[in-house]
Amino acid sequence: MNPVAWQRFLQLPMPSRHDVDWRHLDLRALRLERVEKRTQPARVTFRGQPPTGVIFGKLSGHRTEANRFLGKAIAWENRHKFVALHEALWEDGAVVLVPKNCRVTDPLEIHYELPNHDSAAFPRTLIVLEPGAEATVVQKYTGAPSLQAGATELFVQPGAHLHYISLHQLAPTSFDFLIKRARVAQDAEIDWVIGMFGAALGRYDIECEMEGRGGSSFMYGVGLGAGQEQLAQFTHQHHRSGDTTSDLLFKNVLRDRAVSSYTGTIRVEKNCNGTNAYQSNRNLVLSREVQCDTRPVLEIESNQLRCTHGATVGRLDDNQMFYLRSRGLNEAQARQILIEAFLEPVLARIRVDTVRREFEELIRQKIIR
Amino acid sequence: MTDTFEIRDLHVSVEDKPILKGVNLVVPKGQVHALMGPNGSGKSTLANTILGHPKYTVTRGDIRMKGESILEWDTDERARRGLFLAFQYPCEVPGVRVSNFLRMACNARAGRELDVMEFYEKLEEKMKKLDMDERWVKRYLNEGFSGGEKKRNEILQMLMLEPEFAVMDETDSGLDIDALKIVAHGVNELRGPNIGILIITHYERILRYIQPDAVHILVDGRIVKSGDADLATHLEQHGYDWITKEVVA
Ligand SMILES: Nc1ncnc2c1ncn2[C@@H]1O[C@H](COP(=O)(O)OP(=O)(O)OP(=O)(O)O)[C@@H](O)[C@H]1O
Ligand SMILES: [Mg+2]
Repeated sequence: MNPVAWQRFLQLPMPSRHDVDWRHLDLRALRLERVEKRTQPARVTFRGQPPTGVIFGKLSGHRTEANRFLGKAIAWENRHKFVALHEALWEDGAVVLVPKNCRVTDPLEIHYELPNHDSAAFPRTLIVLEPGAEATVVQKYTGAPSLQAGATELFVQPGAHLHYISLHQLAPTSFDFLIKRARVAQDAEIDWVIGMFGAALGRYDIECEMEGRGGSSFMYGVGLGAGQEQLAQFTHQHHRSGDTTSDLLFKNVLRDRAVSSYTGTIRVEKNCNGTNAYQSNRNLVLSREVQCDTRPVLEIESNQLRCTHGATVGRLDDNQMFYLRSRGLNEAQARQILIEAFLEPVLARIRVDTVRREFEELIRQKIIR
Repeated sequence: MTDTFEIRDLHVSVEDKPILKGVNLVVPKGQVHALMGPNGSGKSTLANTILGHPKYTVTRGDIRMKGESILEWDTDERARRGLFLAFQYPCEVPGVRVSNFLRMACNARAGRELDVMEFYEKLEEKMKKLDMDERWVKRYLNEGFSGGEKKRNEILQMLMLEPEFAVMDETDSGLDIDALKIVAHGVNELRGPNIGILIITHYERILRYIQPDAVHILVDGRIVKSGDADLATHLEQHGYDWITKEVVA
């Protein structure tokens, strides 16, 4: 255990609806009292055949190589209570380290099967692409723990190219807190697709830090909420260097009495001219009981840059429904087509066919049924 | 008269405002009728009502296909049973590819999963007829299509779905002369004993290529005059004024 982080965890108050970041969210079902005693490691399975030289496996087996990076992508202070909890209690997880100029063609998959029932897990993932390296990494989280507080640190070094797909699908009784932060160096690129497909409450902090000229991040997300699930997304596009690009599209489909809140921050430091930062959050609401909230936050200190942001909350379009049905598609088919069409721009970013199909299947099961 | 499409004393309101005020019209299978009339007279209202658009409420009268009232049928059931509307303003559906959409629609119309190869062969044949290349069907449904391209895409759907009764709502508006000829050619090939067609138009031009068996004029929610193809020529030259006067008188 990390005693400093543990103290921080103890001192931070339990978030409440009065905190702007947690408004609309209800944490009452989460019982934290005995978390420390209930910690169970996640079962991690690895799939994919990396070439020699690539480190791919449990973090505990590669601590020497990992230590140079571990903990250095995320600034741990001033985070919410569950990030502190992760930092205090994490023990193991997975690591991918691709050496300089190495191109991994096979997707590398890390699957966390989280312990079920009355338990908590704190997996840490470290992904490092050294200069000029290329890889596709797929991360999956499944299971039904009472609590997961996880973190993923991503380093994309100069000229490297990472395609990163992450799929979160926990039981509707699980509380899921994840933070992911990528540091993107000069001429490096990260293409993200994050699927947030279920939890009693899922809070996802997805962040990129643009540190070198020519770097780019294309951050795509799809969130689904059904029943009384709560989904909170916090994205952070942080430009520390000029001539960098961060693009972002988060699309959510919400039904029943789901609650969702999106907060997207674009931060551009001084002397970051030539920055391109785009942010778009689109929500498709399928029932009147859904609560949906979206908020952009712009902190911009350079002036020669391009920055746009936009958000929408909408229903299925009556005219489109009529058009499809006038061609013989029944109501369920027409809805399915429109929902899939809505998500298409995000799903199209998944470059691993099997994973794309898995996303589509989960969407069908959860939203279209 | 069982193999006809029949509109009887049809009254339709939009948001409680009466638009159609007793329309009577019979289109037997094998015939092409034209419906003309000034802007706002209710032509598209009639077209949308035939397909059961939820905004349009039938307050009186009936619509019958082959002797059966269709009013209780959902929009998709009407389509599966052979009704078709080529929209005046086809809507854009980004994210849905034309080919995928057409395949689902054809399956729905057939009531079974069609053989994929067969489907694509038919699609290719119809596209050739309409002078469309294969890039077309890979695009998203109507997204970014020009006005004329949208209209042509409606006719492609009509040729693929082989309806028993079709309404074409101002398909000719926005088509250049070459496109109009191509579309007319496609419609003429579909024409035959198994289909009735109602062409809504403002211009006699399209009727030169698709000869109508009858022409009807809709003014203020009623059909005020019916005649043969010459009526369209007369309208083209004299406008609607004389009709309104004739009706009032
Ligand atoms: N969805 C609607 N909502 C409100 N009003 C409508 C709607 N559809 C039709 N109307 C009204 O009904 C009347 C008839 O409209 P309609 O579109 O049927 O005319 P039209 O004969 O097709 O005209 P055009 O030649 O311009 O296409 C108009 O006054 C129109 O404003
Ligand atoms: Mg009209």
